[in-house]
Amino acid sequence: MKVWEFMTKKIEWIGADDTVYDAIERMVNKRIRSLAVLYPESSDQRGVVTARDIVFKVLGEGKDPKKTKIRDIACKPMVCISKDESIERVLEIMKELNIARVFVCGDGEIVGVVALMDVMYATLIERARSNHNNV
Amino acid sequence: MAKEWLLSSGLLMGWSLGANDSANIFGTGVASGLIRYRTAIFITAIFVMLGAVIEGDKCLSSLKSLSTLSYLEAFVALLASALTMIFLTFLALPASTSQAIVGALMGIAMYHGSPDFSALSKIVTCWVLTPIGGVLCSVILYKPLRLLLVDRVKSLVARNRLFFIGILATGSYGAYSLGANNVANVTGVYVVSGLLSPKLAVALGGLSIALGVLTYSRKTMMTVGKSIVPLDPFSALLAVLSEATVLHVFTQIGVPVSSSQAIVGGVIGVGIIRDFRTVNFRIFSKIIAGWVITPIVSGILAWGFFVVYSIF
Amino acid sequence: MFKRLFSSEKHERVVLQEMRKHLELLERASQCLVNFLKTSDRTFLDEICEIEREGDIVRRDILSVLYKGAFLPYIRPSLYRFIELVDETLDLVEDAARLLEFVSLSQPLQDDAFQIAILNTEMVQMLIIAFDSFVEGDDLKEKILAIRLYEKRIDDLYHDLFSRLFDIPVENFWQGRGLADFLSFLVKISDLVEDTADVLSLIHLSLS
Repeated sequence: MKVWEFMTKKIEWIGADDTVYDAIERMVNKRIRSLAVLYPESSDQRGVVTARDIVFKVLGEGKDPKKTKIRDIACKPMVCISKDESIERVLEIMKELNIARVFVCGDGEIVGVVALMDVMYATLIERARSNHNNV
Repeated sequence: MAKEWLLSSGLLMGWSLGANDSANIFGTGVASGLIRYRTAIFITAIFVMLGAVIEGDKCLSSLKSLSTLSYLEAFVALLASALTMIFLTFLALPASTSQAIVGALMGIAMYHGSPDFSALSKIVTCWVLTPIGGVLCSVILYKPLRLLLVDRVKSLVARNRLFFIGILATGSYGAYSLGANNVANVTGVYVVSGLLSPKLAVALGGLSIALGVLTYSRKTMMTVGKSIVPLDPFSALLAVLSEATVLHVFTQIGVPVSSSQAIVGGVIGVGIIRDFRTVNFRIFSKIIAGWVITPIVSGILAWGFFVVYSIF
Repeated sequence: MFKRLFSSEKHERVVLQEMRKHLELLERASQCLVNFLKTSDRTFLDEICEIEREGDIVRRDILSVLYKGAFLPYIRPSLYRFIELVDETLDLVEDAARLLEFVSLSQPLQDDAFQIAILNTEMVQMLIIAFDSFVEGDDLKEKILAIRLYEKRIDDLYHDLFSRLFDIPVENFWQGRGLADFLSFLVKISDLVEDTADVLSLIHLSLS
C-alpha cells in the first residue's frame, strides 16, 4: 500500500508564536494529537508539535501552558515523505527517528500526515488481503 | 376378555413415555433448529420400536426382583405410573418412567408388607450413576469427536451436512437406546406377572411408545429443548450421543434408567468443557422436583389403590 | 426429508454462489458511485439502478432456494439477515447516487465524499474476501477486523466533515437537505457493510 492510500488529509496548523494552551484547545476540539507549525519569519519553515511534546516538555515540567510559546517546544524541521512511498518506508523512518507521525509532502506542499494508527490500519488491511490470497 | 383390558394401562404407560421422553432425544435439536419436528418424531418412532424389539428384553429381570405380581397388581402398577407420567407431562416436566414404575412396585410391595430394599438399592445406584455417566460421556467424547469431525471438515457446506447427518444419527441411536432401555418399564410387569411373553411384551411396548411419540410429544419437546440450554450443533450432537450411550450401557447391565437424567448429564458435561452457563437453573430445579415427586406419587397411588380396593 | 438426505449439496452451493453474485453486484454499484462522483456522467447512475434491480432478482432467487430447504434451519435466519443487509446496502447506494443528480458538492466536500466512496468500495471488496473465507471455513477474524478499521476510518472522516457542514452555505432547504441525506447515506453504507460482516462472523462461530 502506498502512503496516499492511508494518510489523513486533514492537517491542523498553528502559529509558532501561539501559546501551548491554544494548541491544547485545538487538539481537544479537533480530537487530534499533532499540529503543524507555521513560522511567521520564514514562509517555508515548518515544524511539528505533538501531544507528547506538550505533556513531556510543558505539563510534566510544571510549566504554564498559557505562558509557553509553541516555538519553544516544537520540533524542526518537519519530517516529510512523498505520497508514493510505501508503508514499510514509513515504518523505517518512524523507528529510526522514534517519532509517531510523518508528514506527507508533494510539490513542496504538505498534503497529509501518516500516524502510527494509520500504519497499523494499513498493515492489517494488507494482511487481510494477502492472507486470503496465500491460502 | 379381562386379560386384554389389563394391557390397557401398559399401553397408556408406553404412550406417555413416548410423549414425555422423546423430547430428551430430539428436544434440543428441534428447539435449536437443527431438525424439523416432523422428521424428529418420525425417526424416533421407528428407532424406538427397533430398540424395544431387539434389545428390550434385557431389562426385564430387574423388575422381577422387586415384587411378585398378580395380574391385577401389574395392571395397577402401570396405571399408577402412567397417571403419574401423564400428570407430569401435562405440567411439562420431564419425568422418569423407571422411577414411576419402581415407585409403584415399591408401593405394592409395601402394601404386601414385604418391600425388598436390596434389589431397590441396585436400581437406585444406577439411577444416580445415570446423570454422572452422562456428564462423563460428554467430557470424554468431546475432544476425540471434535478432532474426528469438526477439525476435519471445514467448509460451510460440508459442516452443514455433517451436522445434519450427525443429529439424525445420534438421535436415531438415542431413540434406539430409549426403546431398548425403557420398554421394560412399559410392559415388563406383564412378563413378571405372566400375562405376556417377553417377545410380545417388547413389541407391544415399543408400539405404544412410538404412538406416544407421534401424537403428544410436541409440548415437552419444546420445553425441554428451549429451556435447558441453547446449544450449538456440535454440543447438541455430543449431548445426545452421551445420552444414547449411557442408556445403551445400562441396558446391557439390565437396569432401566431415565433418559432425561442422561441428557441433562450430557448437556452439563458439554457445558463443563465449553465453560458456559449451561443450565437454566429455574428449569433445573423443576426437573429435580419431577424426579423426586415421580416415585413418591406413583408409589402412593399404587399403594392407595389397594388400600381402597381392600376396603371394598 | 429423504430427499434432503440424498440431494447432495446442490441447493447449498447454489445459495452460496448466488450470495457471492449479490456481493459482486454491490461492489460494482459501489465502484459506479465512485465514478459518478468523479465524472458526473449520468450513465453511471443508470448502471447503478440497473444493478439494484438485478440485485433484487438475485435476492428473490436465493430466498426461494433457501425456503426450499437449503442449510440447517439453525443457520437459515442468519443467512436471511445477510441477504437483507446486502439488499439494503444496494438500495442505499442507489439512493445516494440519485441524490447526486440534484445536489451540488463544493470542492472540499467533493473530495471528502469521494474518499468515503472509495473506502466503501474497498470495504465491500474486503467483505467479498471475508465471504470466500467464510465459505471455505477459514478463520475470519483478520478480515472482519479490516472491515471494522475501514468503518472506523469512514466514521472519523464523517465526524470531521460534520463539524464543518454547518458553515457551508446552501442555496435552499432542499439543497441542504439533499446534501445532508447524501452524506449520511454514504456513511450508512459502511455501517451496513460492517453489520453484514458481523453476520458472517456469527454464523462461522456458531457452527464451530
